[in-house]
Amino acid sequence: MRRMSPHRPSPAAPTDRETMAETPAEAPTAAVPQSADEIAAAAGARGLSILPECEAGVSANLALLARHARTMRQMPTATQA
Amino acid sequence: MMGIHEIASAVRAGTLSARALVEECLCALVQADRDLIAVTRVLHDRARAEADAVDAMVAAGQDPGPLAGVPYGVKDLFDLAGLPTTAGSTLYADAAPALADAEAVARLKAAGAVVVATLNMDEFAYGFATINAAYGTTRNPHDIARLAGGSSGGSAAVVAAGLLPFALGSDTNGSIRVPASLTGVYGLKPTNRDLPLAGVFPFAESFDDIGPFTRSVEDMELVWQVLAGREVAPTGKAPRLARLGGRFRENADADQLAAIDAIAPGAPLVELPEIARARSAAFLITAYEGGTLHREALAADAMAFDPQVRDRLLAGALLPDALYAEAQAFRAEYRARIEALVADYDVLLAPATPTTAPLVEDPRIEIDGAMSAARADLGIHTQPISFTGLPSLAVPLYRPGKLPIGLQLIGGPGREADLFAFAATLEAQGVTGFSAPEELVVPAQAGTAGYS
Repeated sequence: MRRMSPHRPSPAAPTDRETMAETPAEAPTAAVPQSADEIAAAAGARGLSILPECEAGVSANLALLARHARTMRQMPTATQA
Repeated sequence: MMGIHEIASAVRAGTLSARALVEECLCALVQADRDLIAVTRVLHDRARAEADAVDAMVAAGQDPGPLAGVPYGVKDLFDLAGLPTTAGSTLYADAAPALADAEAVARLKAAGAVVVATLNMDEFAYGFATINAAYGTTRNPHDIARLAGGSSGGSAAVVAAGLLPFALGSDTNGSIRVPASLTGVYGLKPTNRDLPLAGVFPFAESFDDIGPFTRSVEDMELVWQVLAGREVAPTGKAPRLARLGGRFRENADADQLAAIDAIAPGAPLVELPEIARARSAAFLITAYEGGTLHREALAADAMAFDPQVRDRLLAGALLPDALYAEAQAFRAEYRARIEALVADYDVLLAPATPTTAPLVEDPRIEIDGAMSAARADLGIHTQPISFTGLPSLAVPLYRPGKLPIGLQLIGGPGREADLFAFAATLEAQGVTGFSAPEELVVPAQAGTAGYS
């Protein structure tokens, strides 16, 4: 059986991005989800489920993104602390 | 395979049949791809029809254009009318056919070029390696045990192998410049959003660009002019040069640094501020935009994605909106700062990749003394430049017999012409230039027959 191909996705509308950019006060509290509970909550909020086959890879990638978030925010990373 | 100018001149003069050239080209692509794994589809019927149309115009005394009869390929994310655009994913292998050509393809066709193939890539352009679970790992023509780089690896490989005189790729964080460096060809990331993106499958929208791969500066400039729809003259003055310092002097090949210092002895060493912050912000924006783009498909059928790409996209889809907004705000402020900083220079010199091509069997590279995934980190020197939006031309150091590696020539916004002029000087001096692979995979007769 052939898999149903999704429609080509479209990037979010610029107006949505502008709205987000107008809320910098949120930024310092915007943490990258890392624990299993945080990942499950973030996934649920976006209509996603993280299947068991994906858990390790998603967790590792979020850890990497968390390090980049700390670098961008000029906070010490784990190796620097 | 001849260069673009040579082919177009011969076709326009009626001394070379576009159809005969395309037949050779199709044959060579099929044969060589058994080793390279660079081609996803060979477009026999469309290529023949386009070549015949070019020959008919010549026979009727009309001019097909500056790219008359020149065969080329596209990364498998450019729309081609009547075909699904896969973006390197089996998810889209059965997608509805594109209704029209991508704007870039339409401009090339109007100039007489003939599209002959779609080319391999990392799934959804998310990677610097062209390791694709569905379509295979593209090999480097200089050593097929090594990666060609990515994500536009198929495009770079066919040009480096001499199978096509040029190909189109896309560059979000280095996906043209990285494979150009590893395969020893020229690759251009234009000024952000300067070349047409209509009909190109997106990756990270705010960084996405398209550009060509070629084997000479002259060919690069010609294809860029067709894509841009304009000719821009260089300033004509001696370029004001600078060398990028700081992180750009770390994680680099000794030959790259020696070449930069020889090209611009005594030129100022300019340090872009907060380069680590810039790369991290680029990483976050890319992850967020890529993850958000594919969120619906991930929710519907995550297991249909290439596993390594899937987990990266899922992670990106979970990033908080506010973190993305924070990264974009930093980017806007940073771009303005960098444009002011580099305004005193015409060309900035930097490495293109931190190393030569890694082995397929061990796709890792050394960064800051530790081994890391080539798929993620080959763009360590290109990603910060994408963050600035400046144009960057990857040029190959001329070193026959050695694995290729390249430099970036970075210019001011909209100043591609300055980059071409300086690159032509370096090429004429023998500092940079294409070196053919020692064991060409192209059949010996290709490029010599086809004259009528």
